[in-house]
Amino acid sequence: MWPCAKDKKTVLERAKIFARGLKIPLLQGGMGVAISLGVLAGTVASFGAMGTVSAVIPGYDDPGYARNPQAVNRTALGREVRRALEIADGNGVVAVNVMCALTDYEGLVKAAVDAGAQAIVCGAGLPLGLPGLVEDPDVMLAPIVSSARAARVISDKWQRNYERRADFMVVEGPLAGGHLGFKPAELTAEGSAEGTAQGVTLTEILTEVVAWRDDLEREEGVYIPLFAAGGIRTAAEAAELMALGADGIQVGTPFIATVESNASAAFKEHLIAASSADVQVIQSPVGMPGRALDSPLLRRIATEGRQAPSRCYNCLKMCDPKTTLYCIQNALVAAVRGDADAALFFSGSDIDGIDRITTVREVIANFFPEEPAVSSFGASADNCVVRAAGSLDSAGSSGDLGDDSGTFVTSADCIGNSATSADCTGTFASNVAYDDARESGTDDNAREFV
Amino acid sequence: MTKETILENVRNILVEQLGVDPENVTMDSDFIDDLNADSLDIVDLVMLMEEEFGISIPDDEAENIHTVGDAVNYIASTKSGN
Repeated sequence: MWPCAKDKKTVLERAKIFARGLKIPLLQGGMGVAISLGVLAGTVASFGAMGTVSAVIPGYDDPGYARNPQAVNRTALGREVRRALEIADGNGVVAVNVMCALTDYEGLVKAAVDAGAQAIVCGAGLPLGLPGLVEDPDVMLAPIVSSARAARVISDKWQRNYERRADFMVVEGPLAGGHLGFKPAELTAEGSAEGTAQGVTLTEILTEVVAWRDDLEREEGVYIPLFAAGGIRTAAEAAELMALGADGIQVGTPFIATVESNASAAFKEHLIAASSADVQVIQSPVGMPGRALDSPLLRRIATEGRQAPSRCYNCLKMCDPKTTLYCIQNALVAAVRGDADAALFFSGSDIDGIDRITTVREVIANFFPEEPAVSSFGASADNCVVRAAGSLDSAGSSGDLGDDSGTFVTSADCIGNSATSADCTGTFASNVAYDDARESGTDDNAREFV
Repeated sequence: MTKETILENVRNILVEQLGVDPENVTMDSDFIDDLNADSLDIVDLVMLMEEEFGISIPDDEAENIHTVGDAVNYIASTKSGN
């Protein structure tokens, strides 16, 4: 049977993103501070999916950060984007997520584009002026929206002021992790699978956005691909959302516990040990609600109240250091460093299935098991051991994870050598690779690990 | 175009978009505090006013529009400038 007209048109016009190398319709959501950096994003892209470097304080650990955070963050973001592009080696798409709420939003967008980012994804606010910051039409621009109204308003504004439509959109429902584009009253405190207190679910939001998108296509012949996001954990859920009109999905939280993520061992362990009942909605100094794991910091805030910051790097437009409930930069940097007592651990809902350290390949295969790029190995830690033994051929055929993929080798080496040691999450190994690269200013250091 | 006419047209847009009672829309009404608009509503309203009055309201000007009176005065000044 011939595909219907709509399918045919969709295949033909379905966005630059597919023409530009996106083979697997999965976005790894941007996760800050410094959870998704170049290694995670690049590895995701290497399989033909879209990896996202987070622009939120990527330079937190770099020399000179305290003196000049803005310049150091821009430089660090450029470094991570280049690292991701190198690991991706022409596969997939490397995106950067820049929160609109960041004080240096404009500077970070430009730093990302200068470094070669192939897409800029913006949430945590309305990226109304984004097309004015990115002149290159080949860099894809994508807002994260949580309602059809937001999709329409941002899209109309871009069209009016810049004659540009979004290249794709992330449609994020109420069960996502990190910052949420909902009013606090719309979210259930416990982050249950019921969606919001008012019954707004990802399915409902997506259905509305799809209807808007399809109208736009009928009226103007422009097709905006949509990626559903927020608490998606299984291939069946992904398939359901795609049957409703999503072109793909965005996944965040499951990538935290991969060897390739830059999260500290403490963060990964905390996420693995936690259950869905430990996920809660909090108020963020960004001016929006957020979803996070229960932690000593959140309990202190609940019992003692305000945790006054000791110093301020002026990272957020909205935050007033004199009144803020806590310093979110300190708390998120503590998470990536592994200081569990001071950390804020952002997380999406429904985490019971995240019960061990995995790999990017396994996470992607969980959603798209049929994709050749990820299906060649079974979903077990064995693949890392196999890799450590030097058998990279299967990956090379599709993802081309060759010589430069230092993290893979170091991660695999890590697992291969110490089996299931809780300390050996791969984070340590990849961080060492980072530090070396930073000090020597080259990207070849990973080879020293081989 | 008089300010009264502009107010009348702005009021119609607000009634239509925000579902507010026309009697509650005065020159002093604050979009957010009095008319329960959110940041998305305001972007939307500015675009609708641009269409209605055939003008362009730059983003930095739009940021200074907080009340119905701010909008009416801005539109009136733009129209008289033409």
